[in-house]
Amino acid sequence: MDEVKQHIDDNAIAGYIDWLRSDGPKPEESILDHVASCSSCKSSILELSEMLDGQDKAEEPTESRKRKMIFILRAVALLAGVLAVAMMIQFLKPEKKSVEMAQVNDDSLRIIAPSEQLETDTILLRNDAEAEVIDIIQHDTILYAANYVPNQGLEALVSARFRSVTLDNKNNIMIPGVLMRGEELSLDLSDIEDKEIEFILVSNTGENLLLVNPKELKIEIKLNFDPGLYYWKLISSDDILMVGKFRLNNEE
Amino acid sequence: MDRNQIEIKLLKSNPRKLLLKYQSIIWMIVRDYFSKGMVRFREQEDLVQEINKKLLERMPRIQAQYNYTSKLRTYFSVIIRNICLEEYRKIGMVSEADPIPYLKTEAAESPVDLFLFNQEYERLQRIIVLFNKEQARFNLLLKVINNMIVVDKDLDLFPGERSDEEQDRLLKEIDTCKDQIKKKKYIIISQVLTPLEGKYTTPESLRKWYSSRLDECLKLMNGNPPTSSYTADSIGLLLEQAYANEK
Repeated sequence: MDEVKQHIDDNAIAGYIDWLRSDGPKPEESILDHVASCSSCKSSILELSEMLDGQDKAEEPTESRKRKMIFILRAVALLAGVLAVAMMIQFLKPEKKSVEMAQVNDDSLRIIAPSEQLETDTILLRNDAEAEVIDIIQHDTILYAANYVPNQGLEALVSARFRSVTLDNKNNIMIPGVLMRGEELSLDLSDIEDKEIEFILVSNTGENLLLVNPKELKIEIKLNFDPGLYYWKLISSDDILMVGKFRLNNEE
Repeated sequence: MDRNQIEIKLLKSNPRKLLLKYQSIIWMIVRDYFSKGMVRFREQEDLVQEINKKLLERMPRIQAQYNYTSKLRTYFSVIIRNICLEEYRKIGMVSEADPIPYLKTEAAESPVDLFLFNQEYERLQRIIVLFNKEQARFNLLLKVINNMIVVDKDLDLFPGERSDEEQDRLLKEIDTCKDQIKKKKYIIISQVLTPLEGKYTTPESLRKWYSSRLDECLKLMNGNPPTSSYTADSIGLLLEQAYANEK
């Protein structure tokens, strides 16, 4: 085959290489014809097309690594965004009212007012000594339960026998262990020799709620107190006669 | 903006920066010349410097002559190769070519061998394409002479449309070449080519034509200076392997 004397220019060779590498349009027929008849052009086109293929292949791993890195960065950014939104929601969420039950003294707990009760989901009980916060579930029952916490000081007196007791018939002043709220408590103290006596109703925190100085030695008390554990004391002019306790429950 | 557009912009506004970007291409071509024994190892850097110098000198001409019909990167690689050849012509062959590793290794089914094989086969395919209008005839003869199966796709390379029946008839006729001596094969193909090309070619001129194209193909496969040692038989083996891989 006769080679065409006039070689094609560098632009045409470059265009042919691009086409051969499926990276450009088909060259003109005259260029195709020339290359078909020119071994020198064929050689340079073939050589460079292979070199550029090699160059592209060498760049591929870098490109794929770049793409992988971009993907990872995007995933991390997305995750961080989701976390930020979640934290924002948590931050903006109205804070639940927490009630702290502080110890009034060593052996008693403060009785929370009924208005404060049964409204909260979360109550933190702080133990000052250990500065430890305990999260308790079923929180609305806690305040209620606090009213039933025994008073250690009074508990010791409940079962005590007092030497000065002058009661001949204790049954007359026996109070049932469990009473209903709104019920009337009746006591007959006529058997007590000491006529200067006082009947004191005490809450489980040790607070005196009611003091009765019965003149006719009969007591009738309407139990309109909050449900809880209550203590009562019978005191003469110079001594404790008797201490007892009862649970006041809500009417069923 | 794709890579080519960015590079064209750099060509106009900041050719030095473009040159920095193309250092990998320069090194790629220089290393190729080193692997062919055209450059000494220690001369590689000097050659790279020389190419950079010449590219800077010729930059105004490059800016004026580049006609945007190809990728700028490809255009530059053509220019870089030309500069390399100029330098090579000045100093001549300086050392023996490094032996190509895959010529030493025996054919195996390892990924490396497969990769090298694919590279070689792709090279052969490109060479066939370079024959342009003659690629259909060369491809057909290459397959027939090497006892490969000719399929519809091979006949589709010929211009014009043929009915399915005509195509089947031609394929059957080509199929009779199997296990025939070369002389007989040229006779059969000469008859097959008449309807495909619209002209008759004698078996003898067909043989001469194929022989010259095969020589050219082998030269291109082996490179200049030669880095491979393909023969007519090893091209046949390459085709056989390609067929086996396709299967």
